[in-house]
Amino acid sequence: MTQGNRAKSGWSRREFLKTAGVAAATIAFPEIIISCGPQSSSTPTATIPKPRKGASIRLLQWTSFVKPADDEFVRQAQEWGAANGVTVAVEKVTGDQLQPKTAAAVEAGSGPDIIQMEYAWPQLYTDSCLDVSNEVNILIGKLGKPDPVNEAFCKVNGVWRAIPYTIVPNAWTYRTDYFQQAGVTSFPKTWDELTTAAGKLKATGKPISQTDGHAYGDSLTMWNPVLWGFGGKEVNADGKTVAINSKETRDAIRWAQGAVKAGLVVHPEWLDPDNNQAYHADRISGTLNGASIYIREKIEFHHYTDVTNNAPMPSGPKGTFAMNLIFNHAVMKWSPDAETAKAMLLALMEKDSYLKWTTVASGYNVGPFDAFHNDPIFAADPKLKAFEDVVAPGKWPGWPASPSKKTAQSQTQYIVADMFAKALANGGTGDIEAAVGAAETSLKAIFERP
Amino acid sequence: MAAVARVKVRRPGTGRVIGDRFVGRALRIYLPLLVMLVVTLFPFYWMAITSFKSASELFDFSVSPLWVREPTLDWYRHLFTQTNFPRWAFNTAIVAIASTLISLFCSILAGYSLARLRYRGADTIGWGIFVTYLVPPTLLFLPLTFVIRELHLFNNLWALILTYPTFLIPFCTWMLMGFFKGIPRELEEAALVDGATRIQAMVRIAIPLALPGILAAALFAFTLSWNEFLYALIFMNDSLVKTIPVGVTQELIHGDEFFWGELMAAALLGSVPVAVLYSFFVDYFVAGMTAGAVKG
Repeated sequence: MTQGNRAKSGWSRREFLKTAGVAAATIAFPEIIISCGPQSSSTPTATIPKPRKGASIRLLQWTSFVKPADDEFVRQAQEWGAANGVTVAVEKVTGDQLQPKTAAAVEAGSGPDIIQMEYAWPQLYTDSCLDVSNEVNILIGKLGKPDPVNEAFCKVNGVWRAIPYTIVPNAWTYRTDYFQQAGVTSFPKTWDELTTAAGKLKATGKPISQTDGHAYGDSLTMWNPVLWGFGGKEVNADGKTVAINSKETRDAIRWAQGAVKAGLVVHPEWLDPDNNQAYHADRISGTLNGASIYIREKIEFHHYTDVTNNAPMPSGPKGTFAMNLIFNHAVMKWSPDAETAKAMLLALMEKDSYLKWTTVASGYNVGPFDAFHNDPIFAADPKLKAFEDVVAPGKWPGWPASPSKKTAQSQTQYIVADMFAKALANGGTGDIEAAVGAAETSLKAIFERP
Repeated sequence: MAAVARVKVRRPGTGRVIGDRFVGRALRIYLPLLVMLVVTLFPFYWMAITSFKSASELFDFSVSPLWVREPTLDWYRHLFTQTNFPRWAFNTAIVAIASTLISLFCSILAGYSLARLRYRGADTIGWGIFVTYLVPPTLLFLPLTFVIRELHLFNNLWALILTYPTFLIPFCTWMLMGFFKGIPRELEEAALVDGATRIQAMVRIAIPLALPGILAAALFAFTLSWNEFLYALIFMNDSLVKTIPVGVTQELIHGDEFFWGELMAAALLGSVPVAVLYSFFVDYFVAGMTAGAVKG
């Protein structure tokens, strides 16, 4: 309605002068705008949302691997609901099901009051997500700076469209006994060392393995960091100029081909659960994953707990990069009780409540604000430290361009993963030029269209 | 066929036809049947043994995965005590039965009308109905979501009972059109000459003769409704209103970890009603086929 009214009336003279003035000031004195960053933004004038007694709130989120953590989240939400006279329902679906449920709700303009947003969904569904800048600024005042990746996903054109919620870090889980048997004393620190280790491990019959297929977690979190580690990128920071056709991209692919020829085993048919199962079944010696493999060994199977360790991402010539699964909460525009929904989310992000939840999550989740750094759960088990370490070098699909509808499209089409998969076909002997060419064509169709 | 019958391999010296002996029959009939049985039943076998394996045995590939060493009922116990599986099964049955009945009612009327009543455009409408069936549900769910919202049926079993016929009616109608066309028109015309109305001719003559087709359409509709996933995923929210396919995947898959024991127990139990229905109606179906217009 607002947009419609604006379209009808056009710009008033006052609006024009105001906008032009801000634009001129930005160009002339950029430091003014920089100094008005998150730390100074509106915390003093923030309005704390008040829950409405008798309201009913429905929250849609994924079913996390750690069931007790989901239960704890529900418990906290319902406890808050009981204290404020609000009925709270938490609906859980699998990660794959979250997108169609969200798309249907957006299409119908009806559904849960709060939806857990994965990756760049706030960019995709901007018009359906309410402005939560006020609430995020309240959290920044209490908890410090948000994680840059969560911020990049949540903030659309300078407006917070979702409240940072959590990071599911991805690190390498490996078998120390097989590594020792192969003469590899510690997990590789660089991609080249990984090639050497993969060769030695293959000789033991338990290779290091990873998917290069369409796994929404494990494939993206592997091949994007490899690309970035060698200096490659899909698109320039402007978000318009496709930059995949570069020497750096070819270097990354050549490394991957060398690693596969040496002994890294890639599985285009694997989806996210497959490397977990292969590890639990003692068929591989290492893989990149969330903490779920290690946690399930530790709390359920107890087969390889003592001989399992975790390690952060190896470095490439251009540095260390990681990609983690990111979730944020959006309050949807159709919610009849948006203020209540916002109030509930603020309560769930309170430091004590949140740390109670991450403790139950056993290291599967990391908090998205400064106050959650050095979470005691990672000190309690040194093997989990790797998962905390991969948060800082984390980036997002499409980096260095800001997350957008276009980066989301490129991500959901698995263009980077497919490029590597093409080149890694037939034992790492695929045509590099054909792989890069196909990726470039697909990316240009997304980023360079008018 | 006659040419095939003449090609008989005779045992040297005896003059007996190999095809008539046990070995011949085994090669011609039982071996292919066995292969087909293994292919079709192996998934059920796999579901069954997986649902009885303990957590440690599930991922132990040092022994044959085709047997269960230490069977356990833990997954079934968990399924019935820690999840809403019985409720999901009840919901699935309600939705499948109701949407099948609605679809059959509409399809019988539509199929009979298109097959029997001579009106302009009947053939085109028939093709149009079939083409409608070809529109994938993945495209239809977004507009249907809007409709369900307008009807305020989210999180209500009626949302499924009313949307499933959108893909069931076109196919059932198409199928029944064929069956009605296969019944000699003269039988109904004789009834009409004897004073029956069109409705009476349909109800008393055509429908009983088309019973095999109606049963086949019912089985088809029931199976599709029982297994439907996408609409149930989109339209249902609370655990207590979910159907088996959605409830099982949402509550037994956690992140990237699959809980195979419970999943297979649920899949096995979920497939039993359909299997029973098929085995029960196969005889009925064949009997219906042999009784026909010629019985007069």
